[in-house]
Amino acid sequence: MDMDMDDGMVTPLFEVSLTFDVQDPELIINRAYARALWYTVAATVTVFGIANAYNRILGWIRFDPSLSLR
Amino acid sequence: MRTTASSDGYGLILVCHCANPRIRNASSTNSAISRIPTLGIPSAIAFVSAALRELTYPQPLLFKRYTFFNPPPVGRIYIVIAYLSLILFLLFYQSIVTGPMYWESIAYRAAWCSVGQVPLIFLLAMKNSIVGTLIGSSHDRINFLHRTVARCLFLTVTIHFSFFWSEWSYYHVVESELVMMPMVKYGMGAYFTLMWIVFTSFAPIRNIRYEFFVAQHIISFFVFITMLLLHVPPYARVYVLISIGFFAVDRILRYARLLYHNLSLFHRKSKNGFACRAHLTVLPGQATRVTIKNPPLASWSPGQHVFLSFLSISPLQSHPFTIASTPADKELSFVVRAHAGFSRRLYNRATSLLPTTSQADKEKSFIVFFDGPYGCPPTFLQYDTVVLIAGSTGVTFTMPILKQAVQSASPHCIRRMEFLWIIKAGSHIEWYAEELTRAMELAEDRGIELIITCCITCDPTYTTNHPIRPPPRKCTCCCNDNATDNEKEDNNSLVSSISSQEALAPCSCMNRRENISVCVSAGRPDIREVVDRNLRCARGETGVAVCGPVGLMARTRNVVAELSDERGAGKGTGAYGVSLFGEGFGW
Repeated sequence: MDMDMDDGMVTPLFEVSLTFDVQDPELIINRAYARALWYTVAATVTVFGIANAYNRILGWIRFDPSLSLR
Repeated sequence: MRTTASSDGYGLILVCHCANPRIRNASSTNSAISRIPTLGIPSAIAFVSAALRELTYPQPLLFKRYTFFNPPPVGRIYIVIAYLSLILFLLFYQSIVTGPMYWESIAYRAAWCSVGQVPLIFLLAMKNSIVGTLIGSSHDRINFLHRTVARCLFLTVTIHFSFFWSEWSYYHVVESELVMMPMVKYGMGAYFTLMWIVFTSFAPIRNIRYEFFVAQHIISFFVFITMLLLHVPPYARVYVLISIGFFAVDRILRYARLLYHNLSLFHRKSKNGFACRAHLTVLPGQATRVTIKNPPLASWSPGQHVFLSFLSISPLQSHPFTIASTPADKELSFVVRAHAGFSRRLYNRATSLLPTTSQADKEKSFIVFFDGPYGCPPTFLQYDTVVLIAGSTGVTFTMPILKQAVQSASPHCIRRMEFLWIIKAGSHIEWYAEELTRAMELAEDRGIELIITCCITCDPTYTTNHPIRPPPRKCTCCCNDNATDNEKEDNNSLVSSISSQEALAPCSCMNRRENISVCVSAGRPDIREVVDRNLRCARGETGVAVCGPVGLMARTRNVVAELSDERGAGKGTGAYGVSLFGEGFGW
């Protein structure tokens, strides 16, 4: 990879790196990692959401008195 | 001024608040028989809860003078480590290649990891966040995650920027990149704007002046998002647009609620255009009490806060304050300590309205807008024993909890309460002298064992312990008929010192009330001793609420974690668990 500074021409390798091809496999892989972040966040919120819902639902049902600490 | 949070563990701790069934059971039986988790699932839940509390509560207190430099509670450190590990994994997993694509491979991966985090930052900054609703937390606690994600974004953007820059430098094409690729310039603009945002968001900087921080933060946000829109390629722009969508939805919800609460159009009882007027009262210690009578707010929970905006004092500014009253009071009450900026202007305005002035009563009230309430504090009615610890204006957080417990007509589990208030001067007791004495009476009526202690730390006139006893209530028995007018006046006055207390001559039927007293002591309290003695007396789970400066918060966190560990709560020893909820100063 090199660049001729005199005539401003760019070598093919550089063109490839600066050309955005939505079908580029590398781009698809990278985008998948960005989505993986959101999947992780969604999973975490779901777990904590279930814990929160669990506590709220407890208020609506008769629960085992042994959990009642008084 | 107070605002946000400092608790930890977030949803992890949710498991610990298995509250409502206890209230249900308390309503169905008056039995005070102690029960501890038996074997099986309840025992496992109790064990996990206790273990999580002991792991997440402690907070190292390394700097007593410069508290900003202290690390956050351990629970938050776990969260930071977990998130940072996730980002580093996504950033470097299979992105390190050899050869000429070394820089670009990591730089592009960093770009995607960065743009993927942008919506998350906005999601966590929302006042009306879906995340907070789902996990049962509030925006002030989630704001910690907002800052954490923003700092990780800065890390990934730095890697993105530096790896591209290294490549261009290696091939000597930096200048041509800047000339040929406008997006590079926009990217650099976004990067340096983000650098500014992250720098000004560190606690020592952002706490210098709240108004300045908020103003520059919003301006920086617009600059950053504009630069980012111009920088990212079209196929990645959806992340930026989602971010703008989160911001827009939050603002629309806030403004809709603001208009609904504050325009008299929606509330018939208001006569003029605005629904709320605030009355200011000067309090000792350069504090101001803000009172909004008959607020257009049906209910709120103790410990929640609202954003107040005074058009005539600080236009276009809104500041968060904890509601110091309960819905039973039928008013919104706040205590604002004068520092700089808005709180100082508020205090100065209040002092100019002292009763000596000849202004009409209507002129002494101000149009005020409020936005809220926000915050998700736990229900303390679920605990057998409640310990409330407050430093200075932190009492605005603990006082409504105390009042709710003693005022609540519905059954609850509280059997014993201790209210500890640490203040600098004895005169500060006047902020809540009436409420404290009233609470003592109500607690006795309800059969709640209530201990109130005020610790005065910087007042040389308080060198020994003084009991403050409540004024005798107006008596309807025959002996009161002979009371003179002066005695009747005395009976209606507040007792805030020994001398005035001695002047009272309660009738014989008040003997029972004489035993009620608020203990005022000089010096700092022993937090460990306070929590420990309540744990020893507990017949069920204990809830500890603390609101105050960093040192008090950290001390209480560490004490609760230590005592829980020492007692082996939830670990088969039979000791009851202890739960902590901390609300710190700052934002």
